[in-house]
Amino acid sequence: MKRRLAALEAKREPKRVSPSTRETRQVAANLERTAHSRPVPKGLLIGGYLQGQFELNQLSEDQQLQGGEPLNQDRFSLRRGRLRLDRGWDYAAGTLELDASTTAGPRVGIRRAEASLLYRGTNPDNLPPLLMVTIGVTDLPFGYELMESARVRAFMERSLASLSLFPTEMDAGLKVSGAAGFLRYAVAITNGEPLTPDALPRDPNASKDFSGRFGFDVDPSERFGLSGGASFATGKGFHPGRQATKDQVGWRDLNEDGIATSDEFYGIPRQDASPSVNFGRWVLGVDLQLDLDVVPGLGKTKLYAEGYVAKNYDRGLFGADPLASGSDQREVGYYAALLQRITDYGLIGFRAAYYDPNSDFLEQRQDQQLPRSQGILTLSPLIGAELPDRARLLFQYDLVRDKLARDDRGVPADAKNNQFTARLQVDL
Amino acid sequence: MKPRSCFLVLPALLTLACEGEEVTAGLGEPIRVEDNLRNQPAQFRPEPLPGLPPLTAQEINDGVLPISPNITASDTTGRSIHPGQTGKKISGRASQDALSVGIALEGLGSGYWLFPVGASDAQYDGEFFWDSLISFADDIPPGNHRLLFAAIDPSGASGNQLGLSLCLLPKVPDNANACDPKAAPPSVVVSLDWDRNLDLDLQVRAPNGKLIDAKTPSSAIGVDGAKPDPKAPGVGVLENDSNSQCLRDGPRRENAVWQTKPFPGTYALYVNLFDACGEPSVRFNVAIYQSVPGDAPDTFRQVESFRQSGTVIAPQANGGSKTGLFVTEFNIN
Repeated sequence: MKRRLAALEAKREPKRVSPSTRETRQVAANLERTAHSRPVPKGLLIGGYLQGQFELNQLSEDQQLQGGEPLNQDRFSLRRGRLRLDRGWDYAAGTLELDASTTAGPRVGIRRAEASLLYRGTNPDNLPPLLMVTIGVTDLPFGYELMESARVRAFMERSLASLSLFPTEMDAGLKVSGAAGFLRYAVAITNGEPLTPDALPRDPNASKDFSGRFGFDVDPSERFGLSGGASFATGKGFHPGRQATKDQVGWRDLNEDGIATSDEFYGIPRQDASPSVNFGRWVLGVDLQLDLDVVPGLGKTKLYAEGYVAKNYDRGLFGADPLASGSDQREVGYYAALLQRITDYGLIGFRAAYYDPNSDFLEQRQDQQLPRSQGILTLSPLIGAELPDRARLLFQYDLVRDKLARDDRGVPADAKNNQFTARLQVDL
Repeated sequence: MKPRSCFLVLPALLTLACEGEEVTAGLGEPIRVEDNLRNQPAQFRPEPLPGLPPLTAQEINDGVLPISPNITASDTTGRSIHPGQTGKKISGRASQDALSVGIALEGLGSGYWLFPVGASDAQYDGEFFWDSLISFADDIPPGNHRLLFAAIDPSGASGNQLGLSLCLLPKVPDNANACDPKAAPPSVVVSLDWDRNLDLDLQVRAPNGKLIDAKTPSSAIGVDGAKPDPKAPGVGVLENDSNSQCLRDGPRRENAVWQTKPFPGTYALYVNLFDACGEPSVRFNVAIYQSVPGDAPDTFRQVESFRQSGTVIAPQANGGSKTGLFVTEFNIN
């Protein structure tokens, strides 16, 4: 009996060995493995990854835009070079992640800088704490795609709708999040401005954006997992006022002879500054993810989808501003994606994504005001190979269907703007 | 998925990948067009302008009516176009069955520009108004050219085009001789052009000792206290000071012009780097153009009689404190 008890206890108690480099790397990678069930391990973890890529785009031209920006889009680039430090204790945690990129010129920026107080409750180590309060630069709790790590995401970038509504995954603010059983929750109050180099240097208005997601994450069996949630974000956009100007003199070449004559000069009187105005904006979303392992030995299948409706929330593609355009802009977007792993070393996938940045857009054709779709449908087949927790090589073709060009009658038609991307990612 | 399905999916994807209309900024084209009513770039189509050729003067005089859909009117100010001129406003009307307007420069470029018509105009029997801004490349051969306009209906059909004659002026002043050989070009033009955005100056030392440059832009000398008369016969005038104070103005060219025969004597040409504007060096060309009789009576031609290239480096910038790099000299008898 003693021998049997000792054998049983030996089975239950895990062996205490010092973690190997591979295990440490796996723990670091696991921090980003899921979108809404990320653990907060104790101790110091150092991780990161590099994504180098080559892109081809049908829009590419060997020309420059006014201002000097090149139109060439066929290029090599470092898409992401991330270095992440995590330090966790029983009741506190800190994360600092830096991002180096050459996408818009050589640049290093903050991807994540979180200071957290937490209460783990009875949650096991592989789940988020019961309650965690985070302040700093943190992921916005909205939907699935926005929270999914770029390290884990198979598709090169988020869908166009997500990129347009949320140009950056993170914002500066306060977040309360946690897991209670199969429920996941997160709410945040943030500045509401994308943290891009070309954005305003500071939050321009006192109003803060409020966002959140309430969802679930269940694994009824080893071969089946289901998660999903509903999200919201609301806040105030900023319409900048006009700066004051001084008197100026202008010249109009009225007779187009290239010679300035006295009757072609005119005065531009000084103008007073005009006030800036805030405007309301919101977005709602639902997301659902299904993980399957139906064919033993083949590899896991992942099906997931997400939908958005929004008002004046486009901040990436056209930049919704109802005060400038004279009317509210309603945005609609969705995507559905399928990923099939082929053993541990292969991957194929397909994503269909749609985004309409202005559902009420009209165009005058002859004397009629006709609805003109600004919707953009992107079909993205993907194929890849990977060495688990080490490296992966991905190839993706983006077939973009839109109405951004005109056909031989002058009627809106699809523009040639497809894109191919090859990317190699190596974990640090 | 069955293998047969794979064979069907792949061609379908390839077909979709090759579909779509080409979108280009058209910077390699001789003209670029903007739809001024919608404040949007027109669509470039890499194919010939649709429609039939414009009616000839003889056909118009004979009362032949253009085939519809067609452009019924075009309106603009002036017919002379400077090299690289941007935003020339050309508007007009299209017949009641038109949906879009196509514009091309006859015989040049690889396609045409297309944009939709605007609202109908009750004053002209419901014809549709259109408005465009046209920019011209600075390397279009100078001379007479014709803009062609076509109207396109909802089925893609087009009737007779409409032509609009324009005179594209050269970069070197020629008094529109390129378009009208009977117009005499200046007697002599010295032209300096360069390849980087810095403040380079043309200097010409006239036989009377005066230096023609940005500070003293003519060879005229005031006599007995009178002001110099830059329009006097034999006087050369510097037309412009390009990139002055490092403010980019586009042409990167300066011309010294003698409308009448210069005073006899020796003229020395210099190129002076006033301010490098942050650039390490600049390559330049200096050319001399002269007016000569044309092949036909009472006609003239402008011919290049001298050309030399050179380089100036940033440390040679002197803020105009001294004469620049000597290039050559020429004599007028």
